[in-house]
Amino acid sequence: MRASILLSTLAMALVAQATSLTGLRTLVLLDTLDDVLIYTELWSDLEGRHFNLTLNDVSTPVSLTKYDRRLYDHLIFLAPNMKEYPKGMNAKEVIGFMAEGGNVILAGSSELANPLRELSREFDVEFDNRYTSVLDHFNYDKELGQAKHDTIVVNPSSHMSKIDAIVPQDKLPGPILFRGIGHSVNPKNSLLTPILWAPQEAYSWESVNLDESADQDPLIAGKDISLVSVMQARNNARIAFLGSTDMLSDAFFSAPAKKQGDKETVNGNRKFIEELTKWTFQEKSALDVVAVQHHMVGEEEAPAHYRIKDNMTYTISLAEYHEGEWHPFSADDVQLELIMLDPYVRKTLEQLELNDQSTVGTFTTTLQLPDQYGVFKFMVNYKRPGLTYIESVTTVGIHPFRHDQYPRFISQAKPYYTSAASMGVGLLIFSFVYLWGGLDSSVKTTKKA
Amino acid sequence: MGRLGIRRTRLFITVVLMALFTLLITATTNAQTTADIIAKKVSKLQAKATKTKGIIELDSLAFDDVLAKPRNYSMVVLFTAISPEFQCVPCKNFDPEYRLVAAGWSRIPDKSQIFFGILDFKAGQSVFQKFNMNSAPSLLYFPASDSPESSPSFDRYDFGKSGFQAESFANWVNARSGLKIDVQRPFDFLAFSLKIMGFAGTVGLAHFLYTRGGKVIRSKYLWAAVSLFSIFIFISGHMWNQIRHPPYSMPSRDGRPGFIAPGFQNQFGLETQIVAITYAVLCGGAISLMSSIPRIESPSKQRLAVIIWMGVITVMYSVLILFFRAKNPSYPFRLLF
Amino acid sequence: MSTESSSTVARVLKPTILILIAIVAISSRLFSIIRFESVIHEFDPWFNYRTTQHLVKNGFYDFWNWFDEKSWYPLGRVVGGTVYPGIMVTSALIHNVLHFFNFPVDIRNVCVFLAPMFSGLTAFSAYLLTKELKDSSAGLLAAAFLGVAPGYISRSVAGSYDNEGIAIFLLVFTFYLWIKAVKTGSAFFGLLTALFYFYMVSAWGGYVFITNLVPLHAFTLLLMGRYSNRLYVSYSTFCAVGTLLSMQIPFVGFQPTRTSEHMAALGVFGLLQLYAFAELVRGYIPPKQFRTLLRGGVVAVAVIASFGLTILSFSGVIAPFTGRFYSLYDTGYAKIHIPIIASVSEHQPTAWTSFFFDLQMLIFLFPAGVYLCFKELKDEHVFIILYSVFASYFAGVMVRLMLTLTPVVCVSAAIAYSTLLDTYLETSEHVLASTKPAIAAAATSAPTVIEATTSDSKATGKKTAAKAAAAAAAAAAAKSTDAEAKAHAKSAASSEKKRFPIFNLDSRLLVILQLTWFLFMFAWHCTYVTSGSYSSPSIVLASRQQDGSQMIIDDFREAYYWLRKNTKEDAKVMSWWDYGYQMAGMANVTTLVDNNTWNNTHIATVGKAMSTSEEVSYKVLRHHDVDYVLILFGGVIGYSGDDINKFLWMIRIAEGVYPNDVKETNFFTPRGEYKVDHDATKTMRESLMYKMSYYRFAELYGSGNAVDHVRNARMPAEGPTLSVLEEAYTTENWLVRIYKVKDLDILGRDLKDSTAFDKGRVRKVSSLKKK
Repeated sequence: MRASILLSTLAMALVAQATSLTGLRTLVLLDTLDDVLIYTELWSDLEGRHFNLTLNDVSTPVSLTKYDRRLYDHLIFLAPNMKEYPKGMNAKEVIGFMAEGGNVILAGSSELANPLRELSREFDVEFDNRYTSVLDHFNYDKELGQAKHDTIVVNPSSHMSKIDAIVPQDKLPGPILFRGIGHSVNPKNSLLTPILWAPQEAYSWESVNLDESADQDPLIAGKDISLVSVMQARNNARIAFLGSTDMLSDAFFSAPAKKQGDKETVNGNRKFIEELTKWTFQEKSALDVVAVQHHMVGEEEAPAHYRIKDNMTYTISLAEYHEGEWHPFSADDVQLELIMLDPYVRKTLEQLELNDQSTVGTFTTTLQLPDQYGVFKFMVNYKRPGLTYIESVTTVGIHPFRHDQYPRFISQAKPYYTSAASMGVGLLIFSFVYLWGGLDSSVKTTKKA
Repeated sequence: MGRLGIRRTRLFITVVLMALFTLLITATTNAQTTADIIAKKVSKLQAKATKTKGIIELDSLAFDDVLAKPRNYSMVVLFTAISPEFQCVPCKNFDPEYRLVAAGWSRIPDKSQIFFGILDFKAGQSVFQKFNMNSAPSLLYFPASDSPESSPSFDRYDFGKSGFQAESFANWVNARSGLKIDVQRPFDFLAFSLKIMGFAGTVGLAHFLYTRGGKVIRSKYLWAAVSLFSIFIFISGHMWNQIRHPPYSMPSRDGRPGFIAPGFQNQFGLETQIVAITYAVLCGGAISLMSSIPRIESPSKQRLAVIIWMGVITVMYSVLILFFRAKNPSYPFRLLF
Repeated sequence: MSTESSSTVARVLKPTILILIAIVAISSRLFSIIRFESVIHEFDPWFNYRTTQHLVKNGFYDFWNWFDEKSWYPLGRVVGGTVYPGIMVTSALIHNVLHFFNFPVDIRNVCVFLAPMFSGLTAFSAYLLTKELKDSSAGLLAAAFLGVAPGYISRSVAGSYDNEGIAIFLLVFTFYLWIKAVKTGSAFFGLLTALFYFYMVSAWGGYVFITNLVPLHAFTLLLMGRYSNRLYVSYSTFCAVGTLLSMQIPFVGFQPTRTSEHMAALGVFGLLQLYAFAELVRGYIPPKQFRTLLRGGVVAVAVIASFGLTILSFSGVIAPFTGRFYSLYDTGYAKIHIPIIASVSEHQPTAWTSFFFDLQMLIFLFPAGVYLCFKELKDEHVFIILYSVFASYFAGVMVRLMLTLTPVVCVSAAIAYSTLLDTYLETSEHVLASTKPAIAAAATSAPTVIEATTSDSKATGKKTAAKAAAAAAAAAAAKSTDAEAKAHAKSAASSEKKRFPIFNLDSRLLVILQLTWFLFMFAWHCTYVTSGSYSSPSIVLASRQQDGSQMIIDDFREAYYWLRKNTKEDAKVMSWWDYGYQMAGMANVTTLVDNNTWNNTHIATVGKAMSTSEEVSYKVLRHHDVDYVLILFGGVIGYSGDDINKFLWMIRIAEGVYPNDVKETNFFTPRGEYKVDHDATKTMRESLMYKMSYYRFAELYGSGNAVDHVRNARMPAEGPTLSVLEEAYTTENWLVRIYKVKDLDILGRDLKDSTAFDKGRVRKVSSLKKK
């Protein structure tokens, strides 16, 4: 069941250059193939960015990896009703797929079924109960959310994370329309970042048969309700959790955003989703260590090992990937650590100024090695939300002085030199006098007496 | 929305009120009861302690009573078996040391923070079973605990590591209780007088040697005796005994004679002495063969002496090898038997 | 027999016998190679071997400044400054010489055969030493004894490439030179002594024995009023030159001027100078004033010296005794204060069985020899006496010091033995007793001589030695039928009461035959001990199966080879320190700790990682970048030297540094037992070492009757689970188990959860909701 195979091949024919760093083969899982028509705008956007999509429904068997190699580069779950995985696929497979470097978008809705809940639990993301959805009696959308107040208008400036590496605020033309389920993230998991969260007045509530469940508190409310959140795994595979499949739909892309009280504006969904997918599919904010050099001051190539208290220069050059090509990365907070069990030196690297033909951002520093020999790790540990984790480790031995590198004659030892010399001279004189000088036995006898 | 808010607040208030109320009641009641119970116990204990130089003799009942929680004092209990039929030597050795520490504490006017109890096996078998102790003496420290339901937490004094000295034990207690117990040993006149006499003796000996004992020191036979003796002692494994403190001998069982320790790297005191003597005899035999036999004038006497000494050497050597085979059964060689 | 004939016979015999003895000494050390293969033995030799390779490959200066990054990660080890380079330099020298003459010998073979080669030299120097003490026949006996004495073989079989291998030769030869120097009083021999002392210092830490024994000898001679210019010259030369030279070894450095071990040498040196000065002064002033002067001088010197010493030692300029050394004096010290020393097996005291096992008949001839030394109390005999007493004390305290005792035992036993032979073989007293005895002597000696000279090649091991020894004695006796014997007799006659010859031939025969029989027994014993006990390279184990056939257990090398082939070249492997050297040498991996136990904290850290729960120790492992963990587990084949049995030491050492994380008492059941089965304590069952040892152990047997054959304990049916480690490799007999340290989970779950997830567990509704 390849729905739009032709389209994608066409796109590939048009532009050969890849835009995603990790590849273009994308698998989309839908509840039924009829849903293809709901997201046509999304498809065209993605294919406009040269992804070749494989649209499957959950009944078609599929396997993500083969011989520990990925068969796809990206995976989109648009199947909230999925009661069980397609044949040849399960939660372990998905996580294995990410361990191989695949990226995932997981979109839920208020009908979100068990398999995806359990999957997201492994990421410390907890979707609210089934058939609940995020309600807001103040910030609902006039058209879409009139009936149940379940389509809420989220204002990016106040309810979206300020991390430009993922979704830059200024790119968004307007507020974001959301209709779906809320989730909460474990704040202890440092890899996990909420991107979009609900307004203060919102709460998560059973959207169907409202009245029977009248006297139980909402499970999560207000800012605790995350609507969209992302995780970058330790191996830099990326995954995004969306509480709503609708916000990807054509309807939401086109509809105007209109809260009660203020005037109607164009919504930011399309742009938001574009930026989000770009980030998730490694089309941007991906860093790479191009080169690491270290050498003594005044030399060129790295020595086999250093000596204590040497002066040395460390240089690391980083590049950032966006718009399908590498650009020099620029920052002012890249730090170098010299670690032997504990950091002995921690120093901020300063960046060489960029000119127009520079392709990498070069960060460098010159420092004196500690007066401590051992096996040191030169470590640049640069981890910023949204950016690829940089952890570059160079292991170098720092040796003590060689036996011939100590000062040969030291002033404190002058007395000893002199004494030794005088002793030698004295011996010469004495033996000379004793052998040829005129003290013979007669002298001795006189002395005896 | 509004409806929700109201409901929540109401609930909240009621809960808080109830909580406060219950808290108040329980607190007051507890305070009265436990406080004076403890006070009574402490005064009783103090009375006992003052009478008996800081030692409180316990039995099973008293033990449970004293250690009942909550209590604002910590407790040290010595589980011992002092009565002679147990013939527990370390118990006897440690008892005075323990009493010493207790006495050191009882000198202080306010001794309500910590009490020293002794639980003899005869008096408190059930407690021994409860702490399933099958070795005496053992020494437990129970810290003060204000909460009734906290688990029975105690700390065990390791005799093996810290030894039987009162000082080290006192330090151990101080470390746990944060108190300061100092041990003052009673002045030991016997040891003192012994020291005096020893000192005098050495001085006298030195003087004697200095004046006319020169010959004694310079006599090489004395020195030969001393050094040979020490050599014999060392090569028969005396230092091992010094370090490992093995038993002198063991009652014989399963036929093996009691003075040979089982195992190649193991030995008894008696065993080493026997070995040392064997060595001495063999060595003496060799010496006499080489130095005293040639002094015998009559051929027949000489022959007799040679035969005798040779016999002695051969027999003793075979005995030695037999000994060794007993230690190392796989040893293949033998001389006579 | 006429003078010149016998002397020529002797002149031919002595070298022959010495050569035979050397051959025997060497060949009897080759059992290990015949049994197993030409391989480096247990632990320390692997380090020596590795450093030697480095020396041969990169030259001396690079070795001298070698900073080893692969050991004690990440601290590294300054190898050049922390080894006794003597043995490496020696074998590298031999290797280079051979290659210079185009003998392409592999350095490994040089290392393997170094100790046996030197044992031949040791025998020779024993000959020289004893010759100085009595006569050449005793010397030959001593050589034969020392050549085959198990006490020395134990540390010098082929493949045990350790310092002691050459150090014992240096010890004996230095003593020989010292005695020679004292006898002749020549500065030349004093200098030679110093030179060989330097060699000894560069070879073994046991040089401290010389630095204390020689001054003690000098001091004793002073006390005995035997001060002489010979003593003055020899000692001054030795002490001055020797101390200066010894300070050239980086590892020794300034110790000779600072630590208490070396103070004796300097003190006696000063004393000698004073004494000599006093002697000088005595020659110039009248005795009466001299006495007062002497009194005053002595008092003044004593006061100043004691005062200075106390000040120095309190200000810390003179360090107190080092732990190992101190534990020799206060025998209880190590057990309490320094577990790291007490844990080493060869630092245990010696039971009498070990003495007999290592020295058999010599052990009771040895005091007789000492007695003879007392009888004619020359300076050199005083030395032997002192040596005997102190060496036997030290040997009693530490098993490994049997090594220093063995030479003196052989020497004095030889003296005693040859005296016996002389007594019962000598023919010509001043009373020219009938020629029967002479014939008897010839009769007894001749056959043995023939045997000895012919039976070098065919005979195995020690038999030759014994015969050679017997032959030596016999030859000496045969020779001693004239001049020497006369001299001997005269000295005897003059010194003591009238001596008679042994009149009857039968009594002579009785004694001689009996003694020869003892010799044979000694030879058999040595062969038995050497082949049975001292010839197994502990990296390859041999065990007997039920049907009596020999089974070779080669798990160690299997594991090390796996490490070498299957890990990235900078992999860091954590293990208990015993296996550090072997891993570095055979697996060529980076180790955290090894047998050079210079950093107690680091070792304690490893102990902590082994003895704490997974969560705690995972932090330690990550912090030290550990990739693999290697442990020994003997529970399957019943190998008792495994890590669970060493575990208590790890715990103790760890507790010494991390008392809050590790508590020894938590590993003992309330009844004070050390259990691994059902009633093992919680701490025990959660400790990483326990988990690693018994991981999947129960599966091996199934149906819950897994039995640990070392501690013969019945193990629980369900074994421990591991989440921060995964099993990487387990050898054929489960003797070595290697675990890989997992990385952090990529999704930021803790490893317990991720492992559970991989096992198929689904997380239930988490607590996130309930906020």
